[in-house]
Amino acid sequence: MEIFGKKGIGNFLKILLEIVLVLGILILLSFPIIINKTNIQINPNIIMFYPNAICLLLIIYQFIGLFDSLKKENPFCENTVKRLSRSGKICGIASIFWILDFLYELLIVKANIPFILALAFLVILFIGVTIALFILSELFSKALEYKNENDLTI
Amino acid sequence: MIVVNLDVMMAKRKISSLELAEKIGITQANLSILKTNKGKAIRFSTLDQICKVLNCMPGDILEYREGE
Repeated sequence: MEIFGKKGIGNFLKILLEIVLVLGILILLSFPIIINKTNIQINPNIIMFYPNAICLLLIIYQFIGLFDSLKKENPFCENTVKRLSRSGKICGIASIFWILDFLYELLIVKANIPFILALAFLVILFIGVTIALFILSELFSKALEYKNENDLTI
Repeated sequence: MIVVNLDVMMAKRKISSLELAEKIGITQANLSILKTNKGKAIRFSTLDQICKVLNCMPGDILEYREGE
């Protein structure tokens, strides 16, 4: 299956990400109204929802930028490295929020075990993705270095 | 550092960049990279062709200078 290029699935994924971004922003904006209508009590989990959602939307925005460079059929460029490391940083910030939420639930609220386990899973997931993104960006920067050296060998 | 003195040799042989690039079998853009010392490495095959076309020794084109 072709990913890069004009007929690749990269284009389709990019459109999908754009839709998700727009929907995400809309949900984020309408969230206070939803809470008002449904009479859910405001707790730190719901407040935590905001920074996390913003982080995720920022990551999606970075990935849309990534697909732009895939479109030009040249994935090894400065743009890819920058966007990957930026997504890694944002993901790191999101995992800090999850850790805070996890600690709050564990130490102050003393929530039930399944909920805490779910939060622990999310913390591990986010830390894992952060590490993966940083490794990817490092890999891409090395690849870019080799590509430049190869291009300048005449 | 290694400096490429292709200009001097080309002037001596009175050959244009376009002609040289065609004879060596590389693009003009790559020849320009070589001439302006932006290249990182040179293949032996390219060096071989340059020496053949310009009828010279590798030492006539490449020069070592002290410092970076």
